[in-house]
Amino acid sequence: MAIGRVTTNAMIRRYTTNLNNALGDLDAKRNIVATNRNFNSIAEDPASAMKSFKLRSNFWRTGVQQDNVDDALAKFEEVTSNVLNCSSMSRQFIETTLKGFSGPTSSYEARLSFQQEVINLQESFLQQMNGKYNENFIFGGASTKDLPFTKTEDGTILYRGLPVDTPTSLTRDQVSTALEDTLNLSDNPPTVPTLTTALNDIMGNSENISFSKIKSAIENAASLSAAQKETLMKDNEDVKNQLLYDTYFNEHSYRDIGFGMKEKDNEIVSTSAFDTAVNGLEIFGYGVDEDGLPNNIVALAGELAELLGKEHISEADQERYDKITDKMRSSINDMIDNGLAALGTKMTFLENTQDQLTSTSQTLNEQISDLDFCDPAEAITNLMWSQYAYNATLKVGNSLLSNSFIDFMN
Amino acid sequence: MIRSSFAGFTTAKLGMSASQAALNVVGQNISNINVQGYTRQRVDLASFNGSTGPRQWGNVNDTFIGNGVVVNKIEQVRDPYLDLRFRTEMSSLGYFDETLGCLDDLQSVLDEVDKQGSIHNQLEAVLEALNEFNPQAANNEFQNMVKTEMQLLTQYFNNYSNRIEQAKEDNIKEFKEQTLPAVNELLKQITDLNKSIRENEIMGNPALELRDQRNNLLDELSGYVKIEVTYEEKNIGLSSNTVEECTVKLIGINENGDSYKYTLIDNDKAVTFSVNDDCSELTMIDVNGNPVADIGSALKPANGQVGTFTQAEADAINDLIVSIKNLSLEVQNQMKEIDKYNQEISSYRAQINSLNSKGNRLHDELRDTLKLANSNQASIDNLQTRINDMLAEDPNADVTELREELAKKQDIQVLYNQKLYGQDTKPANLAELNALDPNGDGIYNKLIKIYGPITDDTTQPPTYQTPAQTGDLFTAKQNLEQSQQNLAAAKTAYSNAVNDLKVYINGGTDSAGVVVDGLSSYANITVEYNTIPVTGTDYFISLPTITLSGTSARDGEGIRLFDGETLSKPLPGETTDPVTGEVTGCDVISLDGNNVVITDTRGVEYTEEIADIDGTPYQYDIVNGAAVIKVDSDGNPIIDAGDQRNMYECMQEDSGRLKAGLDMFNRSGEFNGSDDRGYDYYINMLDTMARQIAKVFNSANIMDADGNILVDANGNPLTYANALFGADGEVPAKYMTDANGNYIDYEGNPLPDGAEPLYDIFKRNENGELLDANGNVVTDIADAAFDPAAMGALGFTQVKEDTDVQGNPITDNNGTPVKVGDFLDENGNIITFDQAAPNPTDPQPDWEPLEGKVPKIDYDKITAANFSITTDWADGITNLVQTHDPSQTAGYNDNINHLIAQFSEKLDYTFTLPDGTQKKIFNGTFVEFFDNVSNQLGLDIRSSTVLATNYMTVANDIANNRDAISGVSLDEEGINILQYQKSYNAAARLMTALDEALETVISNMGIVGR
Repeated sequence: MAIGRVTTNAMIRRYTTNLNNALGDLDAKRNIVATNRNFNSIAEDPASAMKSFKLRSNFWRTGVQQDNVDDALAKFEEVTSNVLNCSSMSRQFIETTLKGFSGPTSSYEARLSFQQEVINLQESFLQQMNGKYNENFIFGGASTKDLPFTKTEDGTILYRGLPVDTPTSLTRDQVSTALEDTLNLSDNPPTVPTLTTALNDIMGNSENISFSKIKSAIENAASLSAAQKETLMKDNEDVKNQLLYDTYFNEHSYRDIGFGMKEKDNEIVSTSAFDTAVNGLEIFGYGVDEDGLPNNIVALAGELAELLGKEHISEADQERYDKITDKMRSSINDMIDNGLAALGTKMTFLENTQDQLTSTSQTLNEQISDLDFCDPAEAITNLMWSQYAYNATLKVGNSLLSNSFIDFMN
Repeated sequence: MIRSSFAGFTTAKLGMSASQAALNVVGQNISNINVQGYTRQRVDLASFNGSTGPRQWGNVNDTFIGNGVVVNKIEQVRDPYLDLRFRTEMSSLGYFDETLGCLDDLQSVLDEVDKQGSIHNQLEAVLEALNEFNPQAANNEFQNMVKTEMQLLTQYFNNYSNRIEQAKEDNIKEFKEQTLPAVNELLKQITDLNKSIRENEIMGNPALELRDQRNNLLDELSGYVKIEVTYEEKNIGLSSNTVEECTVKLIGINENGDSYKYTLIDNDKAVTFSVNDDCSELTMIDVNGNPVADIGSALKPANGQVGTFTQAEADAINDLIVSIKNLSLEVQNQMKEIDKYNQEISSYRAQINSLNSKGNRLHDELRDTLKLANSNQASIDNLQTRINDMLAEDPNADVTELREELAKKQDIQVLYNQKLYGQDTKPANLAELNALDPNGDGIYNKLIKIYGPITDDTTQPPTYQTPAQTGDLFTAKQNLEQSQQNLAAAKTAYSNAVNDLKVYINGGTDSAGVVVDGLSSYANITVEYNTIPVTGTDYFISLPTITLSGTSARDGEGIRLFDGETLSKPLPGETTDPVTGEVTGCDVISLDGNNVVITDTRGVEYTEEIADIDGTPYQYDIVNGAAVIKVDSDGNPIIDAGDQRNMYECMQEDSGRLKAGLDMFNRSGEFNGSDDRGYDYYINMLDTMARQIAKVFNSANIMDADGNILVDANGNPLTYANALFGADGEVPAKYMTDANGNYIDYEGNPLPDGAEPLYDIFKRNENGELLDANGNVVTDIADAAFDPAAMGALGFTQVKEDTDVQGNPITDNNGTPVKVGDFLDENGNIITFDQAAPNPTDPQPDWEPLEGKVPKIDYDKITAANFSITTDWADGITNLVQTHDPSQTAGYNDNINHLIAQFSEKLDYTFTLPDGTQKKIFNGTFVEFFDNVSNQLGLDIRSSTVLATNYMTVANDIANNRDAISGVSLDEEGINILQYQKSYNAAARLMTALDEALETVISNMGIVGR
């Protein structure tokens, strides 16, 4: 801009503006050094502020996820420790107590005393299986407030109301009986073909139906009305137990451990979160084997105790005793091989995730520092430059109102 | 001219005076160097020559030496163009500076950089609490942790919203109590200065210092509003002296969005701004002291009751305006007629003159020709006599010579006849003469054509029939007479129309003897008559311009009801008779409900509301279905003086502090479709977010994924009362309302006053429209389906099966078969539409199950300011639902996981437009939404800062440029001191030299060189 005349006031105004700018700059630089922050309001750097908010959200969430992983790990450690306790107890029982027992042929008194040992073992087992972490039962799947394993008066072991030696499938006959009850055939004689149709609808051609299939089979049975289906599922003990199996084996207790916990159709996507539910049935066994012996080690022990309590031991009992003790050995191995191994895999996974989250957290922290916080060397250098510029401006000001022509007039 | 011996002394004296004056000006400049806005002054010197031009007796050898120097005037050195540019930049700078001030307030609330306690962090804290609650789903202390964090979150919302509201209120207060009074004071000061400057100028003082002050004030004013300053030299009458008049206009826009300038200062008069309570309307009293468009005070009802007005009076005004227009047209037309007849009259007069002079010429010719013809005839007769005589004497006498001569003479006589009668022979008698061919070339032919039949051709000139019956002259005279009569009639009609025009304006008796209430008896009007040329004629007519007194359409001019100058333009709503072209009606003034609407001659509409004396608008009473306007104690509806034009809408975008403040108070971005985001935008955004959080958490706590109401462990439905979030601790219920928000019953009829509002129980889409069972939009409420969730919340159970296990139909308690989807009341009976939708005359159905329950939540009633957790949740009466599977026991946590997942879910954020439809404003997670709000503010601040800095730099540059022209430079003044000191000395030295020279003449003359 061409300026023909330079006047004192214009010089002063320009100088004041420049001095003000220099001071403003100095203040900004000083602020950066003092607060150690690159920006103190969004307006100063909206893009960085936005990024910073995002990073801080992530950082915060990573922290939460770390806590979740720590918590889950601690729970699994507790689970592992309880399972190990059980295994060592049972090992000890088999290797010392059982070996010291001369078998079912020994005297009734000796058997009774041994029976007491078995009952004690059962109690110890139950104690471990009803173990808690953080006030929550650890083997109850998604249910954490109700005792998972209970023993009834008659010695039946229940897992959340379900006898652990319930078979894992229903036979055609069982389903037929259940249907008969439901359809109340005696009152409504003309529905025999309906029974066959209904049975075929549910069972198809197979002789057995497993718990995992029974719910959808009943729901899809075209010949049954909704009310009939509901009665069948709610009132029939056999069906109900199968459905309980289905529920217990399908329940989850998810934790967000950084896989972007998401919902689809209002259910958590299983791969997006970590399932911390531990199903006691899976670890300690459920159902019965081909000999009708329970797979659950506590129930098995119960069988043993019951057998020992007999006054007279038949040959069949003796055979059964052998089978039970053999099965106990293999059950312990299963518990360790399957239960502990599965737990170990999960824990390793959690530990790896923990490492990963720790490093993510560190990276995020660094990124936040880089974005939010200034490099002191650079900030101080900048401050020095601004100080220098300000001083120089001040110095110029001193000579701003220098002599004019008037001072040299005679 | 011989130069006086002492003239040189005067020259020297003038030189000294001029230098002295210049030195004084230097003194003024130096001493004022630090005065803000001081403009450098300069002495305008002119060389003075007292010679008087060429002289008749002058000596050709005379020299014309000048007589010295004169001080013309003291002037300021100033560039008006720079003032203009500076003020333009100042208005932009003012806008962004003010905007920044307001945005800074918002920043202090919403900017969460480096803030520990913040909504962003609190959202994370809620998420963390939910995560901790997750494995401990059955433990109440962990639920309490979540509750506490959520309570804190709602408090942050309350706090943020209140602080923004407070900032807005503070700024509105400042605007009303400081900014606006400051502008009014500035305007007043400028007018005061204008007055002083004018008075000084009349006394001959240019008042330069006062102008500096005025420029300072104008610079300041330009920061508030965008202005244009013009100066006009006005003659003050007595001499050629002029004084300057200063006009300041606001550069704004008119109602069409085109650029328009509004007068703020008219020399010694200024407008006064005022603003309403919520700063949505900026009004002004114009330079003449009239509130803009004060229709109410101008209208004068016939009954003399001040401030009343009725439809009949509006009709009367329209009729009068129609009459005035017709009369004006009549005046114009009659003036055209007058012009036409005047032209005819002069044309006929010219014709008569021409016929008369032609007749006179013919009479002269007739006399001469008759003389010659008669003489020739006499010769013929003479020759014939001689021949006859000679033959009588001697039949064989030689008459050949005579006969030849006779024949010659007779040939000549034929020529004379041709000339006189247009034929070879002379008519035998008068009858034949009059029967001559009127188009013949003979003199008689022509004369008869002009004058009519001849009664005596022996006289000279001939005697014609009197009074004349025919002839060109007769016709022309007749035409003239007719035109004269027409002219007289037109003149009468014209003067009648002119008089009637006055009668229709002022009242009186018109030319037809009808008594007329003039327009002035219905309204206070100002009438001016303007001289208007009548096209196609040389005449002018005087037609009225009628304005409503005391009103101001724009620039202090009143609202114009009629303008004689734009007669060809139709009146507002004009109707005309297709045959006569006469105007039959117009719609200048009308009553529209509670409003009086006036359309001025430019087509601009002005509206004023009928209100009582307190300014409260009148409501209509409905009596037997007909609307009746409420009236005052005298039985009259009253019009108030309010409803002035909103100057806020007349300001250009991004100009001036006033506009910036008002924008921040009134504009809320997407929420009211404006470009700027003021306080309300941020409040609305927080409201939207609070609603979203409430919706997500409430839905999760009340309904399952399919939108069905959740049930508790005993199978009883959880009602909406189980909601976690509400307004002020309560869950706002959604009632049946019409589009205007008035309560209606289930048949769509308004509820009687005081009746309990009815719950909305119908299925609706997102825009609030009713849906039938298939999800199609319906308009009749009878076709609408019940909303299962709403009905469930009221405790009604829905039928899921219509046949029992045996396949038999199920009936309700009354024995009526049920259908799938029917709802049953607590007695197990089907609720039919009639029962749910009571006819106002029917007894109310048993709404017992409604007690304490809320059927639908009206989320629009939740705002950031009243956002809270429900008191029931706070008191532990309701709980955060942990699972959507009521059959499961404690420890299930699927709902908590659902809530945790909602924090990563990208949700649509919508808000309700005034017409009830929903508009999407954002998609993202909770945290993203909030970050977006604060980031938006950051970006707005940044762009405003950049613009403000930019305008500041330019304004500074211009200020420097102004200084370069108008500022005082000490160097320059120093040089001036030397220069004028030297010239002063030189002039004094000249005096000494002249003195010495005269000394020679006086004392030494005659002895020089002795």
